[in-house]
Amino acid sequence: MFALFKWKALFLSWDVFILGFAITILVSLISLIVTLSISLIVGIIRCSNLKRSKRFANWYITFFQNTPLVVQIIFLYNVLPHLGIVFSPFICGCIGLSLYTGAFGATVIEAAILAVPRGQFEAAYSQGMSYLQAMYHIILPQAAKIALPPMTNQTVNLIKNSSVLAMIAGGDLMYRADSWAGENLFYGPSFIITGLLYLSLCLPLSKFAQNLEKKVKTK
Amino acid sequence: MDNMIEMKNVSMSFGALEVLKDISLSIKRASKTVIIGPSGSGKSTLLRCINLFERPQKGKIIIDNEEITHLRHRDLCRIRQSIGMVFQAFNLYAHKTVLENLCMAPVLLKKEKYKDVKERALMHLDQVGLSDKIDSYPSKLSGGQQQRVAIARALNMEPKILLFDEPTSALDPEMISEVLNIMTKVAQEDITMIFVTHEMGFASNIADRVLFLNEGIIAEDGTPDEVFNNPKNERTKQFFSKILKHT
Repeated sequence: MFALFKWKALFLSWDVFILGFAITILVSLISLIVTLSISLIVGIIRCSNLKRSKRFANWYITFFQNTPLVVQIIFLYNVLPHLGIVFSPFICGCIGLSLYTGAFGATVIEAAILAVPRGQFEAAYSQGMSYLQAMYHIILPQAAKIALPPMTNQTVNLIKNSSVLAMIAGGDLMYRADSWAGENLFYGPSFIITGLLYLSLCLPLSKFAQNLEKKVKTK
Repeated sequence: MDNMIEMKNVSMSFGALEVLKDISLSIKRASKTVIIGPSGSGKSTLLRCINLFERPQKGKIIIDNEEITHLRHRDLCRIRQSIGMVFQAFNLYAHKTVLENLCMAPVLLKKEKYKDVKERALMHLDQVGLSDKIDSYPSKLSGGQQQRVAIARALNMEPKILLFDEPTSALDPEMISEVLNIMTKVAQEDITMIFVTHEMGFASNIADRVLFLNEGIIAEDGTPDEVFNNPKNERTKQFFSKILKHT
């Protein structure tokens, strides 16, 4: 594993790893934005009294939380084409990651909204605010503070989970590292570097989440 | 008509529990009414019916000659802008400073200019003696101070009606008097006010009318002197003898 020539080969093909790393970041960023939107919408629906939407939200959360992400992504990539719906691996990855992480994010948002005291709603209503105004101006800013640390943890999960794109030739870091090592059998160096690259993304985020959590608790 | 609030045959139940039983009530413009009664008698529910926080199953509620019981949500929000409420738990917006607490709703809902609203807010904060706290967050204030800010916040909407839902019940004994002093001062204003409270001294000072509520019925209705000194109803006598025993 520590043979110098293997590492030399790796550094000569650094562009493979950087490209994979860039795609991993891109997939994660796009999925994060979609995840946040899904979480917010589904989380708010779960706290509302819209019966039909609520049932749909419950169904969505149950289904996506309790099936493996790999199954979902392979379904998107290999089953949907039979129905005439074809997405590129990259798009499949973004959709799958967003739906999967969104199902967890929605419960985070829901819990955060419920953690804001009921009296805040009443104060807003008593001044004449509508449900949406109270939500936007009073409840969500307070819920965001509560939701930020667990949401950051979800983001860390999302980045790590983006490695399942390798299963459908998604072109991400995991995929490129695996196929590079598959060609020359230099698995050791390949996956040490891959691990370190994932670590460089996730570690700062986890630390950030931990600090936030401390801040929220001491307040 | 000179009635600001009218309730006609209002009944309200929570499940099998009937909290308000066929209540009819007229409240005059700019009058100060105090509602007293044992816990569970429906005082808070009656108060919360006025801004439709609780929706009565039967009866009509008329605010300033406009029936509100069947209003659409949007119109109800408009009506609520003119009905201020002060809560037992203060309910200041925790993520906003004192000044923002006062200025937010008038700017957002009544579309007033921030400059005017701020000027008015400073005046109201001066009135409740908290001019030095404009940039503090609620968590940095004592309970009494928070409640005084809450009163100023309600006043800053320039309401026609002010509802006080046990405003001193959650306060330490020392802070009760500072809030009662402010409320006595505020009671001089030309706003229709209803207080649900257990502070009998305050009630006899500022009220022109006292209602004694018992088991969802208005058991006594008169001036403070009539109700406190010559109660007609047996339950009212009993109530006063119990609360006066220890003072």
